[in-house]
Amino acid sequence: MNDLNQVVFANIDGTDPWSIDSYIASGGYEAWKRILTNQNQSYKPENIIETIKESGLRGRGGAGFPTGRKWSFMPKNDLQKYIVCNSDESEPGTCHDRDILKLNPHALIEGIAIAGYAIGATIGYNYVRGEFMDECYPRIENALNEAYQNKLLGKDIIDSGIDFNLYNFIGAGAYICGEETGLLESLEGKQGKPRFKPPFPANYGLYGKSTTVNNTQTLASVPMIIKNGSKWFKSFGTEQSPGTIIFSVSGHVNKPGNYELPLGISFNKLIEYSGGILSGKKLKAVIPGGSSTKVLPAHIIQNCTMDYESLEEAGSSLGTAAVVVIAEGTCMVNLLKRISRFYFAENCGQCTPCREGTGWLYRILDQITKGHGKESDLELLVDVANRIEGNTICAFGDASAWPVQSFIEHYYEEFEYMVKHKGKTKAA
Amino acid sequence: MSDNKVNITIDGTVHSVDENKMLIEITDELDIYIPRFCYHERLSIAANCRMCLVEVENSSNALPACATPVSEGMVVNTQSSSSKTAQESTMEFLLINHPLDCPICDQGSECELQDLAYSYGKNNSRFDLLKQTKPNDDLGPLVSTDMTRCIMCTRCVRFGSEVTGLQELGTIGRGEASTISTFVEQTVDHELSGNIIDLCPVGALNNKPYRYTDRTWELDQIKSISPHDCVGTNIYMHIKNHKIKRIVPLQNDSINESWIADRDRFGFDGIYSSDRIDVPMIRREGRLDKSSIEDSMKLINEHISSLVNTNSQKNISALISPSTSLSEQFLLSNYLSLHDIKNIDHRINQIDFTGDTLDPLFPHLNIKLNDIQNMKTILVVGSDLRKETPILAHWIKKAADKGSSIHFIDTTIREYHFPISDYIMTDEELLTENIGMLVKAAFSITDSLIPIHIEDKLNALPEPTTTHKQIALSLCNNHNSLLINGLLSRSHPDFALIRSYVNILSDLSNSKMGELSHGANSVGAYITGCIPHRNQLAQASDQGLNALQIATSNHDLLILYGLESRDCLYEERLIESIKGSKTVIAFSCFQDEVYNKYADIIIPIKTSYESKGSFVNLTGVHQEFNNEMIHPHDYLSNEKLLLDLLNISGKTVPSFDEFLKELDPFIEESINNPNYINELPLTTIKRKSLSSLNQFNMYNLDPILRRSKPLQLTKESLGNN
Amino acid sequence: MPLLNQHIKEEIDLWVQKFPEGKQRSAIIAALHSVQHFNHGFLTSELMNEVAEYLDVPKIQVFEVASFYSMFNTQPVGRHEISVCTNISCMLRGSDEILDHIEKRLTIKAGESTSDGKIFLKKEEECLAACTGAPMLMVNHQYIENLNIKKVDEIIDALEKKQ
Repeated sequence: MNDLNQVVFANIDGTDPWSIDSYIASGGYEAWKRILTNQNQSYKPENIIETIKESGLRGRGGAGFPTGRKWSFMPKNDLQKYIVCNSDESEPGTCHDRDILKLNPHALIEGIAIAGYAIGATIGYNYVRGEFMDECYPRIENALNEAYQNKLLGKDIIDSGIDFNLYNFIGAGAYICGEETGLLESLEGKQGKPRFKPPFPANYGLYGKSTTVNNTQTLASVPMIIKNGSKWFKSFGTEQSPGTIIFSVSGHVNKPGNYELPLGISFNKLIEYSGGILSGKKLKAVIPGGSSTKVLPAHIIQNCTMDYESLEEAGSSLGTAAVVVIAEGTCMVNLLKRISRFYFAENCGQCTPCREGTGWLYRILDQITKGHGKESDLELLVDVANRIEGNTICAFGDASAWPVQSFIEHYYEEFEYMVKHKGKTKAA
Repeated sequence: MSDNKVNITIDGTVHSVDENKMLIEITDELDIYIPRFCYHERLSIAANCRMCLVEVENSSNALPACATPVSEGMVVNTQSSSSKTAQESTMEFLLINHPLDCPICDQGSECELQDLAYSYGKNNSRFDLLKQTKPNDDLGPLVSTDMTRCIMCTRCVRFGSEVTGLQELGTIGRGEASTISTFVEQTVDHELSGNIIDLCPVGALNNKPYRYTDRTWELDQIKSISPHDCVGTNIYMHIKNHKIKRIVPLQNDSINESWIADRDRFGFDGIYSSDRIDVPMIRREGRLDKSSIEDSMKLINEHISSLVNTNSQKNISALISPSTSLSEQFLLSNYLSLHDIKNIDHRINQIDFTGDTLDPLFPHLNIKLNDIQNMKTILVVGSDLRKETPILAHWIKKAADKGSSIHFIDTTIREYHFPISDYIMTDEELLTENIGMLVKAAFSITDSLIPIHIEDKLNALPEPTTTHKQIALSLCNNHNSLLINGLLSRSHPDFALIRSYVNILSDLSNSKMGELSHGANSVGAYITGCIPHRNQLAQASDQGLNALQIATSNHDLLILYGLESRDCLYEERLIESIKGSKTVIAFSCFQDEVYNKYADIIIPIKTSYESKGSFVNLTGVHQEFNNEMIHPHDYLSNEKLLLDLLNISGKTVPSFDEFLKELDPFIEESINNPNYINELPLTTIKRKSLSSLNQFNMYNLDPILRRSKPLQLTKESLGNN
Repeated sequence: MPLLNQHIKEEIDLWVQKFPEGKQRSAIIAALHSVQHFNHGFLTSELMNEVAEYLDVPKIQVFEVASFYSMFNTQPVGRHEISVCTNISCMLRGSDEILDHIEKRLTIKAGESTSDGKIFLKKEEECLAACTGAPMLMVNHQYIENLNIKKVDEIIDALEKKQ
């Protein structure tokens, strides 16, 4: 099992891996120190960006956008810039960033600092979801204090001429703050309502200044990449999906857990790591990357490898690598209803399609489960979802539409059955 | 701003358009209609309604035209099926929870949602679930709320945070439950708040006093001018059955943009007060008896003639409201001067007249209102700016938003919703001194020689503080600087000296200058000679009594035109004068307690809302209005009344048309060569101010406003600030 | 009458320092957390007004934030908060039975508080990011995972002993 925990979780088996002593002992902050001392003159910002580009690291927050390319969008001027870490982990099924904050917070701190340096940001904010306030916020806050105490952050760090200050920020419960511009609005003290793009954060971000927003896991991967080189990172994974990713495997498996594994691992292998399907049941379906990704029936996903390309080809997406496993006997109608209830509850209310449409979707499904569904409801559900998709300010609209579209596409008979049988589920 | 052009194709036609504009701005300029709700030219982009989604080639999704900047080679298809589908989707979503209120909703027939539903909606709905509802706030007596109708376009919220600078409404809640509210029980009080009624594209925010009274298609529309301050705000009056039902803004980019103040919108209600008078009254044996117009005019003339025949013109005085129209002022002023009566004035809120000989040709602002926003430094002296002239305060806020430095010298700290550079707060006694200290600082900064006649006065003043110097520096060093002298200055016991200081400061710093004046037409009153020290068009005259002198003496004959004692700063004195004068003639729109007790002849007149006439605003713009269609049949206009008076007197009626011919050149010449005199008044008698100068109740300025029921229910009127 | 005690003010001050000059609006969320905690789980308009005044921001901006985020309660609720996750991973592992049991035990529905004001059963819509330990719940923001009915009963027993 030497595929496991090679990058972000490489050091978590030590004693108190979250302490700075443990982190440093396992090679932590070496990359940052090389930058601070500009070892071999080869740690200039443009070098760092190039390395990350070469490594092929893609945003782990769900969109999979190439990280090096995102960093290169930042303008080169002397104005104040910001690096913001999106630790608002809220995508249903996802729980790996929590473990990073709890078990390897220094990797994150080092990653944010390196990113800040690369893009010219002297200030960073780590936006942590509100519900983590006792769960892992104390750890990341404590780690931050340790970093300052060890003079690894602040002004003119160890006489390097480099300034970098980092602050933790606590949210207050809103899924939409995971959207990068919704997060920036929340950071500014407002409601977390996403902004329309363009302008993009690199041009108009936090407080109107150039900003890059990256996910926790993305940034926590950076120190190892800088320390060990882009080639090392590419030795894991596939050509188009290099590196490792932490799969949060949950649902109907025997050993749900966070498994950092190389991208491109076969789905079946991943299920092996997770102890196989719960109680020896048969696999029915999988939501491969968090509830915002389309559901894939067993026969499709069993032929997939867990990477961006394979899942896209299969009609879904890697998303946050939150693999929700669904066994036979699960009612897909009720599951979709729960998912739709989530989007209904969490839409920010700003734009018309989401504000009005998500409630409509949920209520139609509710009617169906209560036995008041009509046959025309199924076509209506898909049509409403289609009219939300693509018409909203941010991707939330798409995320609310995809489950409806994919569930009805793949499990039409279950929906039809429930409508015909006045709320009875087909699933055994 | 970029002068670059880009070529874009819209519906098959190539256009060369300004780079960096949003698509919707371009299509609006080209008269190509894209439907929208949340977009408004005077507000920031929200892009939340999603009604303006259009197909742009090479984009997988329809894009919002309001938030999509044009770029070279862009190809837009506004009429394609994918544009229509996106727009129809939005319309369907908007209608699923929107209540079917049209039959009872005031907005019906002037509703943007209705209009667009007609084009983009379906005949029947696929939605058969329960519609959601929202709770309503009580926002006060002016704006009604039906928040279930709200489509969350946030125009009203953005109006607060961007235009007035005071965000009174917010988006409360999240998701489907979000609503527009003040959250805590609170009214919306800003003096421009009524504009959210016009901004709201649906019937969520409506005109509360007007609620449930009419349908738009029943109303006739006439252009008019608001008569409540010197800005000359442009309005539309909506009329049905010969009554004004409501007032809305008339867009005028050089005066009031798309906005009107609440008093411009709701003031008219006062003209329908139950104490309107329409029958002349003559006092016989202590009792007021009804009379006829002919008899009253005859009697007035008799009184005048008998005094003129005994050379007692100096015992005849007239006070005229500063909100009278130009023709009224012209006729009255001529009537008096033809009889050699010199005691006429309109300045019933002024107590210091020592500066009369130093008066400019008329009080004015020597730049256009819409140029105020381009001034880099503005100093406001002695003004409760937001209440005196809400629209002018708005232009100054625009300058502040652009980064200009705004300074105040005032007698109390007031709330402004824009960044202020310096605020000198002093008490009323020391206001004059502080402006003098500014002048002193300016002399020093510009290294100018202090003229002898000012030197002694300035030397007696304290040394300017750092703040004074800062302000003076800001004024002197900026090309585009502006001084505004407010109404509180004009009412100050040292007005003449303050005004002279401001003149000198303007000269030293090369600043533009503006004097606010009371009422709608003080400017006209100056020009028509309704002042004791000049005749029409600033021709010389012998000196008559000024307003304060008139109000503090007893007369053989006292004429009061268009005003009540409550309009006067020295109300008590005026009442005494009315009591003590032998014969009092009151031309009034309303019943007044004082007139009922002491007036000898009361003549009913019409308000400007019901008349044909004109005002000259503070920048010299002469604006005519013709509200005569309000009257169902022939009526006696104020003009005709005064003409009758003139005719009975046998004097030759001067030609108003001839006067008008001379008016425009006179105004232009006066603004270009204002003849500011940088002298100090010869005497400055220290006087105890006659009333508290800090308060300025903006809804109690004239007889009409104080009878407007909606305005009298506001916090401003009830004193609950 | 000042409602914000010295401790809260100091906490707010620490937060304000994290943000650039003039951007103290960013501290609203932290300030509301602090105040809500002090007030045993919910915000009042008086408290929110005080926060607005202390931070020198328009009151409406504080109200907007308080009404948007689901961790803020603007109506009185019980002192201790139980939040049961019922999102997909937890639903697949039996969250609905857990919630059902708690509702029956406390004789309230999700979204309500017990009549003695002790326990608030929050209606939780979000995923709490503990999916690998499903089903789970939060008690006063403490995560308790891998639940079963017995464990849930123990949790409630312990809560009921508290003040």
